Amino acid sequence: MAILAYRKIRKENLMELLQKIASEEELIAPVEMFGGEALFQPVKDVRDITFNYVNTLFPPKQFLLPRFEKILTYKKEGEEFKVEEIIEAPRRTIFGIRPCDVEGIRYTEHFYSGKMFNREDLADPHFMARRNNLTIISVACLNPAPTCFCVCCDGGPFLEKGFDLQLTDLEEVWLCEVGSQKGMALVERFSPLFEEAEEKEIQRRKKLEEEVLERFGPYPAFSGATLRNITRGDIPRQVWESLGERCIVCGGWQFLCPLCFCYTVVDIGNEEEGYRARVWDSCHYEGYSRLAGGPNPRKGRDRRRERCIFHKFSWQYVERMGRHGCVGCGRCVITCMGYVHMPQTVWEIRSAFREEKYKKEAKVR
Amino acid sequence: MRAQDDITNVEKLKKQPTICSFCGCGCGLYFFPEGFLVPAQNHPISRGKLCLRGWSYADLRFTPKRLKAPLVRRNGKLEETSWDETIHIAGEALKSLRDKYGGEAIGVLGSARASVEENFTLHQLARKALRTKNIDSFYRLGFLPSEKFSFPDLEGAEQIILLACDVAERHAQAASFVIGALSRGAFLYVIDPRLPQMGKLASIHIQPSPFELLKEAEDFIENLDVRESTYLLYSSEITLYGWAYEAQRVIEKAVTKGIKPLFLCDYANQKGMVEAGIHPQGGLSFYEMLDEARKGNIKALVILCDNPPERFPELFREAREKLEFLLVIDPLRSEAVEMADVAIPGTFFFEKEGSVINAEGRRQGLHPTVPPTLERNEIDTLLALGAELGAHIPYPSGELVEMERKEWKPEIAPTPQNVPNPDYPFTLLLDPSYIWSGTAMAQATFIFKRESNIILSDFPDGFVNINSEDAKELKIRDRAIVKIETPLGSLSLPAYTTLRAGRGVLLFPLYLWEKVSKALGGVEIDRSLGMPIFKPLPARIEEE
Amino acid sequence: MKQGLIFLPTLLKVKEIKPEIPAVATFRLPKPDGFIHKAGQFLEVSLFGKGEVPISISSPPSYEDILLTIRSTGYVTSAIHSLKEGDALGIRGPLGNSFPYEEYKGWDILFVGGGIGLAPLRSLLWEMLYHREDFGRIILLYGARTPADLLYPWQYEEYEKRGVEILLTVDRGDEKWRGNVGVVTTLFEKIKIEPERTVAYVCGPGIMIRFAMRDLVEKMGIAPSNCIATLERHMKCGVGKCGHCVIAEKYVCIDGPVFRYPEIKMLERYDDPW
Ligand SMILES: Cc1cc2nc3c(=O)[nH]c(=O)nc-3n(C[C@H](O)[C@H](O)[C@H](O)COP(=O)(O)OP(=O)(O)OC[C@H]3O[C@@H](n4cnc5c(N)ncnc54)[C@H](O)[C@@H]3O)c2cc1C
Ligand code: SF4
Ligand code: SF4
Ligand code: FES
Repeated sequence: MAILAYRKIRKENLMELLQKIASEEELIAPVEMFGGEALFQPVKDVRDITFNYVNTLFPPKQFLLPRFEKILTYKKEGEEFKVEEIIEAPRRTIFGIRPCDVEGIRYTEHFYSGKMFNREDLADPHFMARRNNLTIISVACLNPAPTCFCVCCDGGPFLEKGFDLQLTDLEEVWLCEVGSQKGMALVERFSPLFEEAEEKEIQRRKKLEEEVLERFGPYPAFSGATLRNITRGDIPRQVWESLGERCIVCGGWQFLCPLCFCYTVVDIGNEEEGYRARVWDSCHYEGYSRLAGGPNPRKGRDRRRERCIFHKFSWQYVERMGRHGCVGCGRCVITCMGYVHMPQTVWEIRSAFREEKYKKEAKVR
Repeated sequence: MRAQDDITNVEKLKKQPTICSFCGCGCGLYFFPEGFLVPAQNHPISRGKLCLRGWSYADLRFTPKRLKAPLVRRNGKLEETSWDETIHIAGEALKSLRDKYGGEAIGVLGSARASVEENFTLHQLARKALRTKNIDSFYRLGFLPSEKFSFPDLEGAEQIILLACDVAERHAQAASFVIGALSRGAFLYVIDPRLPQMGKLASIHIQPSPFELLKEAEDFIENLDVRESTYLLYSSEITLYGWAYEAQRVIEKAVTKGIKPLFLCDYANQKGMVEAGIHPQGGLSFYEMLDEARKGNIKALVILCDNPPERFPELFREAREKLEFLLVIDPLRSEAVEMADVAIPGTFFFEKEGSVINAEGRRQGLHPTVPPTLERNEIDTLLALGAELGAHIPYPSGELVEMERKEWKPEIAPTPQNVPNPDYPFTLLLDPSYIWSGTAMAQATFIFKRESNIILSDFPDGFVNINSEDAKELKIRDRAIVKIETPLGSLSLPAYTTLRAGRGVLLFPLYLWEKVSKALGGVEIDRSLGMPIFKPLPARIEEE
Repeated sequence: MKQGLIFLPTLLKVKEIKPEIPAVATFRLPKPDGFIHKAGQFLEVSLFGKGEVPISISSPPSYEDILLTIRSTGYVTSAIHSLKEGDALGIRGPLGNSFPYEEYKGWDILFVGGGIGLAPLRSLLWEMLYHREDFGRIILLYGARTPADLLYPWQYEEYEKRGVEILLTVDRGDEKWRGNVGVVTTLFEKIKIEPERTVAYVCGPGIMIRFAMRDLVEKMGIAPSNCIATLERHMKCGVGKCGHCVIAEKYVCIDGPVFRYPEIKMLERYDDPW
């Protein structure tokens, strides 16, 4: 979808807009914690919002797919059970979300809506209800963090689609790109706060985008080469084993990654009354794939790591999901306990292929 | 430290970081009422990273294992009772037992899952109200006092020595610091009869026979060309093997060579708990309390957030039968709670005000991050109990506790060692890696419960880990039942063949402790540390 | 399943519990309104307070009830085994794809089963027996650990009566056992088939599927695309959301559980499908 319209909004008007939104529905925006980190939180007073962040350690996926979510309750009444599916989907606006996370939401939606399988009859009612009630006001990145590499992964620093409004900081005003009908409706509803954008401002945004590309840090992901190697399935086992040796199996990567969304299901309560909930899970855990009685197709850490990278970087998934599974937000770089995060993995895969000795072994396989 | 914050202001509460309550690394995190957490990125230890346990910590918010209301046993059943009545009942029972048998008949167990302040108050309650010297905790198992040290220093380390400690399994954040140092070019030396995960990453992995472990370590340190920043990490393993005395000598030698040692505490507030006064002080140690209870000499136990049956189920059950009164204060509905006469709910780290001390000796503040769900917290309960018993216990303000807390410097004595025996070519060794399997804390989570239960469901009756190569030579199949003979007795267990056990080493997991120690002639106690130990034993193995 | 509410189980009363072999029992459930399934599909069976497990439907589509043969192996399945007749059991489904059926009308059919793997095959077998005239020879090769572990022994006679050639084998025999001893692939030598008009349906433990498929292609000469297996994976949601059941890029709960050999071979490059 192309950009529907360009507008601009003055800084103080933006705050007014957000305050109005906050009074009507839940506004999610970055807030500074006592330790100095910014995290996405529900905000009632827009003065709490911080602009002093590049990307929050947690993507706002918590608001679409909570870490812990009740999905149904059951209660025995006489002989019969009363079972109800609970769908909690308040109207929400996320402000300040970065392009990579917007891409993450788009990717997750492709999966949870059942589009990946062409089975939209199996759309997840919980996720979809929340997604439909969500308005996304994203902010393009002008100063990437040293860990960011979205440029290599089509995940930013500016987007063309996926958002309702995308803001760009032009110092005195914010340029707003309207990316959807929902965004259009928002702009029209609060039209006194917005102004038409001028051509020179649109040009400035284009120029800024080019300038930002210069500012990216030392974590390039050679995604093209990796994608080919993984798709062929001929990465030498030693690479995975060597990565697995350093993996501490914390699972943090999957919890922080905006494109990861696995969960497990738990029943809480007794036979008579209780609820069923889902909780985030990670494919790096041994119990994730273990079958009753002990067999486990992905017992070793190397196997689990291979699986994760396959999901993120194989053509098979690109074909089913419309893009590869990393947007380059750099969160795994921060959270990986064993320093075998995405850029490192990609780098090691690539260097393995440079080494003649691995090449030979790959052929034998 | 009275809660100065308005504890109903959720918006404010959740901005405060809190601390993980599993291991002694002391990672900081933000905790949210929705059952969700974020590692604190600016925290010097967590740095935006948490291990499996840390991530699962959020599960405690909605755990089905929560103890929600005070319980009093009536006609054999635990029944919900009001707070005031419960505390009154507990106070009366303790008072009458104290007056009847004297304070020495009462035992008190503190906890590394409770804050420094709570442990301090418990200590005061024991001394002033119950008038007993029997104060200790099962969470002290393996603890050794050590030098101060800072994890972030490891980032600049040039050499790191891991002395018989499986950091990847048990102190994940420490392992992360080590791997970080490796990626910056540090050298890693692992001295361990096992092959822990870090062994594979080491520049040098020395795999001595368990009997020679400390000697090898000493030789290694002697010959090491020590650089500017060299660190040595060790943990409770050494103590559990009964080598605290010898290990001290090795550590002293390391210090004289300029190596900086760090003892990795197994549990979150282990150090804080000990410094708040929970350690043997002339009275009985934790193990002896249960042992004496079993003999009928201890009549009542007061347990704060501790669950002895997770390690010593048999002993605890026998002790419980003889006890006249058992009081448990715990946020979890643990096995101990199920057996209690009176159980009073406690709070988790993310619900309380106070402080904890991690392995480094760093005192970190705890703040409630979710609105309280209970009428009272542990300190209120303990103070009220003190009042029931007619003693005045001071409120444990931060300053008071800071003033009162003291390092514990036990006089460690050598224990006689087993010697290798040519008739027994193997060595049987305790492996504390599965330290959390089956514990109340692990069972209260969802994901970590599943992960920590894998080993328990694969081997419900335990196992003995034998080196794959040895197994091949002896024609022992994986999971076959093997007979292990030692000079003290013999055992039958399924074999689990991996490379984790070194050549000639047989490992059995810590959660089996009671089972094997029974078969091997009873539990041995290190008197100076007041804890059971399991010395490496010469052994023979064959398939049944 | 109510429209859109994909996680809401339908509650049914267990009509009958029939113990089969040790630790295995068959649960008979009434069909809810509008329930139509195909052979090879599975249900998410839920027991409140315990959890949900995927279980293949072992009754044929034309049968009046739903039959589920469940082995007690873990937390949820052992709790299901402690149910009594008349207790409530929730189901979601039918889920997953199904065995190709129409396509193979007029062909010879070879079933290869191991252990509890006979349960999903039974659904297809009976459907074929109901329409016996549509198919050529029907051969059942079935193996279990011991003679006591052979599932549905009381049905074998009926199968034979309806023109099924049955060959049984066990890993370890006992005094009374006169039949074949060895893994199920050892039975392949004992039958003669016309590979170009035979389709094989395989179900059992992973390793068995792996070797059976290989031998069917290499020794028996059946075309790989006519070798069909159902795979087993850790499952949670059954509807392509939780991610647990994935093998490389295939989700067993939606893209499977029934796969053809070439597909499985392809997956083997990236993951361990067995
Ligand atoms: C498509 C399919 C069809 C099946 N059909 C049958 C059948 O007809 N009869 C039968 O007895 N068994 C069948 N199984 C296997 C059955 O689902 C497992 O035995 C069962 O899930 C074990 O659950 P548990 O809670 O008792 O075990 P636990 O060990 O307690 O497992 C915990 C959880 O892990 C998951 N899990 C563990 N093992 C498996 C597994 N093998 N498959 C899927 N999920 C698993 C489940 O969600 C389970 O609740 C089938 C599995 C699949 C995938
Ligand atoms: S793999 Fe890492 S960098 Fe890529 S999107 Fe996920 S967390 Fe971000
Ligand atoms: S390393 Fe220790 S303190 Fe840190 S998250 Fe893990 S268990 Fe908690
Ligand atoms: S079982 Fe959840 S995705 Fe297949």
